[in-house]
Amino acid sequence: MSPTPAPLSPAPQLSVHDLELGYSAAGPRIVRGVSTSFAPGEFTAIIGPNGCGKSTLLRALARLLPPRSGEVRLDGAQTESLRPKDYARKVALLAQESGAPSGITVAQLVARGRFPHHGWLQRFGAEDEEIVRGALEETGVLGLSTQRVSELSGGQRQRVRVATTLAQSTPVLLLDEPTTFLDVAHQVDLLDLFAARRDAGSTVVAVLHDLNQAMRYADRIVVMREGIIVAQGDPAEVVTPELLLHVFSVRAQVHQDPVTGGPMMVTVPRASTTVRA
Amino acid sequence: MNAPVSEATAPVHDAAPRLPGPGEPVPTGRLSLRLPLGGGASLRVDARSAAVTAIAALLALVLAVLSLGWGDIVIPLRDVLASFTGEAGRKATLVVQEWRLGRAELALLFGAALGASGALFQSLTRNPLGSPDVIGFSSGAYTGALLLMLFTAASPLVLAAGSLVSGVIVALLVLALSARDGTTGFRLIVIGIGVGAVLASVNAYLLLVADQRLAMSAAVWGAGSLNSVAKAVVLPSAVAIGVFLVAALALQGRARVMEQGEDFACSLGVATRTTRYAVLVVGVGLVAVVTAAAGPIAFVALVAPQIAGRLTRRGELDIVPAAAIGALLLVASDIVARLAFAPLQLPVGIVTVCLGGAYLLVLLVKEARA
Repeated sequence: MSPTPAPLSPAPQLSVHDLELGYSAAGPRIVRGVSTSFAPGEFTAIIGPNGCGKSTLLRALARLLPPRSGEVRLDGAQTESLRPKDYARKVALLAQESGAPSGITVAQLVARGRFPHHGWLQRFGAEDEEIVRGALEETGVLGLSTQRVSELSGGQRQRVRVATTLAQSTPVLLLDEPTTFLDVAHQVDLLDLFAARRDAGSTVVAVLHDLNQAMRYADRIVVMREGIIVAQGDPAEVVTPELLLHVFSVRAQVHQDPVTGGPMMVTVPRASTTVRA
Repeated sequence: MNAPVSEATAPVHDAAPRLPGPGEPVPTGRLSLRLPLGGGASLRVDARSAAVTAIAALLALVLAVLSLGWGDIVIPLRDVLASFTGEAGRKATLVVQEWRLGRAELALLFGAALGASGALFQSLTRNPLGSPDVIGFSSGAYTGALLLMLFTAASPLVLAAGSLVSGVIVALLVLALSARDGTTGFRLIVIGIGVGAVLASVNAYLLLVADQRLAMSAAVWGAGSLNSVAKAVVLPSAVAIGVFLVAALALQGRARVMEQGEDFACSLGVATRTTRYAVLVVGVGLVAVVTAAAGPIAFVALVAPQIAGRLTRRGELDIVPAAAIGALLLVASDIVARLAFAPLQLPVGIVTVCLGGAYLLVLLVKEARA
């Protein structure tokens, strides 16, 4: 991994207050009365079972979904009051892949990440070029720059999408399952990359499915179930066998990670007799 | 290879190409040209798009100029060119400047407008079938024109305005019916085809119950024809199309980001709702100018962006080459319409329908074999 390029502007504080979210006025509430905040220089992992509202929360943080009630604030300002491009210079979202992949080339797609930094007459310049090159290099797809996105494998495409998000060079990174489609080596590479961004002062918020990765990389963990936050804080204090049973309906043991000293979990098959640790 | 390597030690396959270092440009897989704008500023354009545009525009212009000499009165090319500088005889000047030039200009203009409109619609719907004729605009414009023609003594100007208004109403109706959670695309096309089919039967009914003479002239308008478009229409059409084309180019960057998905565009700070409506208004506006003056000319909007896209291999919205190909298609089609069965003049819409039918057939055969 190359060193983090271009120093970023100081990360703003992102917070939500009594947030209620749903996809239509009459539809079910997906997120129900959530309050929390995401600090600069902090890596937050949001975990929870399928359909618990974690991706929906991320969409609201990225301003893709207006709150039904409550609010999302960036440095105290209500996000609705900010212009879309101003917000996009501060907050980037890596959404889950949807729709047909594009016929443009990798370099062209990643260059789209520079869109919020351009005005009416401003063109793609040398600085943009360098940021795009850096993003491609960090994600290990620089050698693919001339290929069409539609011709890539799932894992390559995911890394290109991450590169596009990085090219946006925002102090806040919102990542919805950033490691999907990736083999374990590339998963670790990407999580290390996000941790490096965190160390450089960025706010990193990631929805992660792998609980052990979440516990290892996150400074703070937010646990969601049925649209509410059931626990949040230091992974070592928050994650217990009782919590995992309550939230995921899975019997598991929590041990000390022999590498980091933090927590790690192993599931216990339903049929087997439990061995107390 | 840059470095001289002796034959014996040279690897058979040098698998990893050298990656660009800091400060070096990233290869995009596209060749681009820098056009100096003066004052140190420059505009970067895609070389292949520029080449396709230049060749198509040149061909369209050459065909248009050549066609000025063709017809039941043949004018030699030398006299055609001389008529522009006022050095030709009275007869040649009359035939070229008064009779044929306006029509050739309209074919160029309208073709460009249709090509650009189709490119916008196909980008918006992310579907090669997304074009103003498919989403019911043309049928709607025809319904409005028919009602005015058959039941009032409307002047041509009122007729044009009426067809425009009814076309826009139908386009808005289709949009309202298909709008749900910001998803356009496929829903828009399916609903547009449905609404268009209903209106087509209304149109057929109106023609059947109408007075025969009126029905005849209405049917000709409905096929889309440049035969009887007044010369006075050229300038206002050119201004309107010019304004819409500038607006289209201003929207192009945002529309390209939108092609990668609404969520993607939104998180990059594109006001997706506003952009979608703006693209729709400009796309409808371009085709409305054409329809109001000449009636619905089918398939140019559908085919031109597809041909342009295959030639440029761009894989994203590219308005200018689509407009150039549109101009070339309509100029060529109108020459066929004017000369193929001379002295009988076909409506150009009939030629473009044949062209579009052939295109769809080729597409279907290719798909079936793939």
